Amino acid sequence: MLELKGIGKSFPGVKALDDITLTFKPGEVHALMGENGAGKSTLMKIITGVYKPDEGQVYLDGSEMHFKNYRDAVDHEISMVSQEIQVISEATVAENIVLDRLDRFGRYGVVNWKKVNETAAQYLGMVGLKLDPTQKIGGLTAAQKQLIQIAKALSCNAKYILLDEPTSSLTGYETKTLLEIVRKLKRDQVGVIFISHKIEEVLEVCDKVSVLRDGKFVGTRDCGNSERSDIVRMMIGRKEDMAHKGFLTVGEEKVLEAKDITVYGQFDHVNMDLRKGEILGLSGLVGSGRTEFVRLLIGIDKMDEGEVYVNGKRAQIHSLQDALDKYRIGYVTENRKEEGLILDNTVGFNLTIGIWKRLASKIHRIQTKEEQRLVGDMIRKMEVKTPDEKTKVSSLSGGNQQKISIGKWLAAQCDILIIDEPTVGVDIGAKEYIHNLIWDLADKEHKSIILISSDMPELISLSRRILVFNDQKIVGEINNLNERELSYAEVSEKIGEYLA
Amino acid sequence: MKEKSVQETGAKKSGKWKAVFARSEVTVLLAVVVLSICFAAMSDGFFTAYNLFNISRTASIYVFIALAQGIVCVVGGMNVSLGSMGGLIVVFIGYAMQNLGVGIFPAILIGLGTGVAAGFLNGMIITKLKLNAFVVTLATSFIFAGLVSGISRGYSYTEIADNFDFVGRSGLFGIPMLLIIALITIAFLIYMFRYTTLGRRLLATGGNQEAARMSGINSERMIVTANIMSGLFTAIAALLWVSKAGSAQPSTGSDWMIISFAVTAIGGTALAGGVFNGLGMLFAAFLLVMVKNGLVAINANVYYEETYLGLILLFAVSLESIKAIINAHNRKNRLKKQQLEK
Amino acid sequence: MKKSLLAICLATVMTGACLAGCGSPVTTAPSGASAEEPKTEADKNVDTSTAPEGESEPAKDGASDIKMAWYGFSGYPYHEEVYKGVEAFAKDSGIEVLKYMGSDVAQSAQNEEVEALVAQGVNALSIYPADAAGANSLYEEITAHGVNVVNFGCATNTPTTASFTVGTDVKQAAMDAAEELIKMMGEKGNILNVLEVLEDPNTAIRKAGVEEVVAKYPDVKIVQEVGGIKSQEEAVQKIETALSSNAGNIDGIVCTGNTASIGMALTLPDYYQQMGTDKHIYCIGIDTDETVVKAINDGTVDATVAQNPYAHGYISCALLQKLGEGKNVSDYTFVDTGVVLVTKENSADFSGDLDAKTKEIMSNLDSYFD
Repeated sequence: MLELKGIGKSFPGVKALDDITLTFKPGEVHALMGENGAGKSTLMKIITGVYKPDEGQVYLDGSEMHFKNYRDAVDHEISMVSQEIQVISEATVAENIVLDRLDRFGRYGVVNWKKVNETAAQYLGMVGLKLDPTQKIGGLTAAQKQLIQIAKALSCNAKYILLDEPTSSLTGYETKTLLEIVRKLKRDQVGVIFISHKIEEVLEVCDKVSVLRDGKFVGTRDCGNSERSDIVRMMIGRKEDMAHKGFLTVGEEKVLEAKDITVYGQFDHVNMDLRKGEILGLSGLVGSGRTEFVRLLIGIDKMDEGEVYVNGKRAQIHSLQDALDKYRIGYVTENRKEEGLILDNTVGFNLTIGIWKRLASKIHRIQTKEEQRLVGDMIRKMEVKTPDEKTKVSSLSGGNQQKISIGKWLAAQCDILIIDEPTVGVDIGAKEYIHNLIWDLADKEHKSIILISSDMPELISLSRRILVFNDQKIVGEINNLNERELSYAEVSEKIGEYLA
Repeated sequence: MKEKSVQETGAKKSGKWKAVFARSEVTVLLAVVVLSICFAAMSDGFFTAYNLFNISRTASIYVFIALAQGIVCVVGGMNVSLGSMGGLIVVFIGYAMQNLGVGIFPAILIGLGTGVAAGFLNGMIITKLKLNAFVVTLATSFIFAGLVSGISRGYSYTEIADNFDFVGRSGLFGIPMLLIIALITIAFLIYMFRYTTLGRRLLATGGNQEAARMSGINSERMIVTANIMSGLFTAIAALLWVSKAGSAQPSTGSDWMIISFAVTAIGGTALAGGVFNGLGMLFAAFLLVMVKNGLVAINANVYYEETYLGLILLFAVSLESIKAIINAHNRKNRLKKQQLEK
Repeated sequence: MKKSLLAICLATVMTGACLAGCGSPVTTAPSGASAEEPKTEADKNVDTSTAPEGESEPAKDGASDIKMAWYGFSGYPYHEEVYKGVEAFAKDSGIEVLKYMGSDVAQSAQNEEVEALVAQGVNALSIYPADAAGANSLYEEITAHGVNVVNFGCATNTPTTASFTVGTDVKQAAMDAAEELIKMMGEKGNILNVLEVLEDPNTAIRKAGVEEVVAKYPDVKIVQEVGGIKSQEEAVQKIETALSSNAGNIDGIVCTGNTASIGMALTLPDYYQQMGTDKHIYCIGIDTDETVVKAINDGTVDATVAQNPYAHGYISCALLQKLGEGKNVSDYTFVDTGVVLVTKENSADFSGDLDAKTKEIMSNLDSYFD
């Protein structure tokens, strides 16, 4: 048994954890939930020896533990799989799995690679991956990388594995595989501590769920007899609303039209159109071509053949700069940390990055007063929780970072907005806000939006029309959701059919 | 509640001062002040008009050498060729004046043109062939160095126009022209990075090249621009050096690369990109020149001179960390007190 | 697409330019028969008719077995001057001399390049050693293969398998410079001694030479020493500082290295411009860089000690020719080519004095052998 008794931890000005008492058992999947900032990550770091608690103790099988660092925790058979995928792309699968213990495979500094690969293959089998251990990791999917991280944790003989939002970057199908592995771990008498924002999967796979709120313990429930709304209420104290959002007035004119888009070896004459004020959903597994397709339209990647029309006129888009400056098309990327934001710069800098030119006077001086006013408005409008506009973006939470990532395109007054995975790694409060924002942009400001999402409820409740991508082709179109002829279940059923 | 707000305004006032002291260039400035007091106390010759004139002239040239490095560091690159680039520019200027007999202004244009062209070349190779800035500039540094010795054979060019030393040797109200030029350039660059689209885009490119591209910035063009500016600043440094020295030496620039990295890094411009600290560079240039100057002024043992130089620089740059450690200590104590009061 | 094409073109052009600029490092000094007669200063100075007559005859025999090479470093005027001597020798004797110029003064690079030359059949080598100690192991290897080695410019540490060093006596040159400076100063006053790279053992020898001379004069004192000078920028910075920190207290400057001398020549005009010309500082340097000679003509520097690089080239090759013809030498010998003091009076024609020294040594060349 892994027990936490009266754990408390303070950071300058904040009490991050306050009197947390929890028990984790082997062979049990125990979910840890709470909004961003509730204290889950801090608690994880205390369990794995990264932080030392100010108050309280950690007991492992009855004896008190004082882990010196993460390595020490690993030596006591506690492993962590972090949310950000941490693999070395240039190394092989096997190397990634045993990397920190390479010295144990062989003598006199000579590594016995055969043994390494065999060991790796064994653990790959345990997580259901049929991969060649000598393959480089670079080309694998996010899900495969995530599973490799789990294999790595298993290979340390971990009795307790902490999974920090393991499914946040996975598609529905991939998530299913991962959850299956979690069940298998449970059968093998491993104690799994499962951090997630997705209530459905928690209810599906976990035995118990414990909720934290503002650093305090709220309660533990058995998953068997809990409802989704119970847990949400525990987490936020308000009711979740993911219901029908009403009707959209979609114009007739096509604001964006793609004709015969071709990339040799990938896309073969793919067509698509977007209407004024519409929210068009793009569905499909990661790698199905949905993100790759929109990147072609806005000039990030180059197409070999095909034409793009904006407002009925042939558009020449050679770079994102063209898309933004000439046609007011914005793109909220799925990787806000790598591609969306300049993390080491300020909130204000990131919000106005697309409009400096417009803010510049005749002598090319950026009008800072005007800029500050705009940034202030945007922070207020988007409800970004930041001390001021000079705060570095890296110090904000995921949800607030995402608001800035979207906000910069709103500041740029884009007419067409392409939003890729807007709510990955975002807490429930921010998620709901972002959903309402996307809706209002289409409904009130008549912006045309392409929404790419792996989150089914999100995609179905927001989109008026859904295109399903599979294998670089559009395999299906689900129309007229405006009148809601189809229920949520029917739509998701249909998408599932197209994907199969 | 009222009490709290009073406390807060008090904290704000002291916070303003703290914010000033928290800036990294202030630490460098502090080191400059402390060291100059030390050197002045130890040597009569240190605090003389002639010496200060010399220090500020050399520091001004260092500023340009550092800017040439700093501007590419801003976009996340580097320029290890700037030393031999400087040598090449000097040789071209000398060759033009001595062998082709051109006047002052054409020679200046040739110098600036060479710098711009060399920077453009670096930038184009880096972006178009998608190569690492270090590798490219290392390779071009050999190209430039070869051209320097090939063209000059190591001979100096002494037939430099008489008025060419005007900028390098004269002053305005006792302030060297070189320093004035350096100050104007730094002021302009601070303005550029704060208030112009170009400056902001350079910073964004260095902060995260991919994110900049995804925000509609032509980050490749920014890298080329930064390299051109790097060549331009190298050319200015070379011109100023010729102007001060009164002749064109092909060996010019042999120690520029180290100086450029030292001044840039000490001055708080991150070598990883995304940050520009103009004032920091200015003070760092003064720091480096002053330490070298002071060691000669106090007649330090020539054999151990470099050791002293290293020790003093190490001390100066660790002030920043010492400050951070003290701050952390104070904060801990304050929190402890607060907790005890509760 | 256009842009990438442009980039490739640029790269090609640059590579081409680079190759053209550097040229192949190995070229051949024109031998007498095929020489295109580049009438340089040096050529005029040595009258071809005075080239030892007796030697050009047997050279015809020896020429067939001697394959001579000269190894210098590119980018240094000194080496260019030495090569002029080598060219003149090739012309006078009819022996082809392979020219190699290293770009990096590093023993490891020199080893590789010399080994390549030997592999091509070179059996007589006139060379500037990259490292006075390190070069010896290279010499041991190649002399075992029957290659005769003569150093020019810089001696290797003894024992060495090089047969000769043709060069300037470093200590004597430094002493001459110091002696001359003190004479100009009226045998009293304060001296600034400027040293170059401190890792170079020659620097210590020069320092000792200057100090030895100063010790003879009770009224002369070295008030400051600056050193660790690798570049002219550093030289200027350090001399400037030494001048200002000893404000008005320095009566003479002695520089015993080329870089330092250039630095001094660059600093003084500026110094006089800032501080006025009321007090003259007596200055002496070494070598005849354009900058130094110009400063002498302008009156800011008083004198410089000129070495005899032409002789370093000419004589080292002549010695190799003798060795190739079967002359023996039992001991390693240092051939001092002498120095000449250059002042405003003789700055235009000092080379004549040097040539006289060259001729003197050439006429006694046989005395260096057993």
